[in-house]
Amino acid sequence: MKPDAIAQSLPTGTASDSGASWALWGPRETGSNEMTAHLYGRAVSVRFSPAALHQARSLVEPLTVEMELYFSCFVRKAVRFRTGNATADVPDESRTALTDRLFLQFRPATTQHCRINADESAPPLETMPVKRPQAFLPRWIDINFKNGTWLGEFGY
Amino acid sequence: MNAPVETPNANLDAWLNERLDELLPTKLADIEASRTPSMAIIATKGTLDWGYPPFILASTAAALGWDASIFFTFYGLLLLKKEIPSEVSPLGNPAMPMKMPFGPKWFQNFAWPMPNLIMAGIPGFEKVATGLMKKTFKNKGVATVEELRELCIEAEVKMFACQMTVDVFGFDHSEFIDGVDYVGATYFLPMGKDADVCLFI
Repeated sequence: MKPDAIAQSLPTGTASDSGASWALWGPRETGSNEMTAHLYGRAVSVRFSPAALHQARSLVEPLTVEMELYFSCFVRKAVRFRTGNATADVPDESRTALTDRLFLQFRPATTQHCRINADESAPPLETMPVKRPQAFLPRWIDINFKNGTWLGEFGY
Repeated sequence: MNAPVETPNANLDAWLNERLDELLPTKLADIEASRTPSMAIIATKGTLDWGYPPFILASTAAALGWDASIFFTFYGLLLLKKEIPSEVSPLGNPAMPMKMPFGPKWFQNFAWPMPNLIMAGIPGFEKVATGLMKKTFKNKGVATVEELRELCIEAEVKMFACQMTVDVFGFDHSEFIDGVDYVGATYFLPMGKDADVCLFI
């Protein structure tokens, strides 16, 4: 699909249009600020806060929203927001365009070290070659923009 | 002592042995490389803290492409309930850190000394401890037990429930999630025997 066509699919409404009160950590409600993306042939429900929606429409640089599932002594979820090029070692099927500048990708990750606070700097995370990644693909992701910072949460 | 008599069969055996020495290591390596590793877990505990390891290990094994299976017995059976009722108790567990998942950093890093007398005597203490643990895990982005179980189901981890435990505790199959096979130890133990990794949790 062409980016222009994909851009048309970005939600045009706001939370107030649907009467939904958007709270990042609150219960999910459907509304016009929600869209469906497909990764590995499976649907992922993507919901934007009004602020995130506004910010997404005015992006200048490409932004990748990465759903990171980190396998270690715990299984930890984190949403990374990467400007510029996406992670190099992620397969094509794990990435999709939400608009011409906004991308969504899923990255199972692991490391030889075991730290729950692991971020992008230390210890080095590496993409985990999951055999059936679609089985681990999140069902939904919430995207928010608050105080100049992108925030996100995903789940199953 | 008589010298061994050279016969056509002896020559054949020698030739076969020589060829086997040449070919067998490669053949065995090929078989090993194409084999799917397997993991068998016996889950016996149903508290929140002990509910995590079987699902974490099984989902990770499945992610690696292994065949994973879990046998839920005794209190581990609670992990198969539609609504997982697991709680955590710091009572009698001096290794469990009592830390607050909110407030300034120094406050969060402080390990609260909780004498058993307090933990045993205050009504609802386990609810508080369970809430604190869940909040800590959420703050750190740790997937919930329910999510991990869902991942295991999606990743085709085989789940077995101990039928004898179901009977003894008076449970009904309708209380548990779908897709569970109800078996006995004699069914699962051979699976454990053949598994590359077998764990008792």
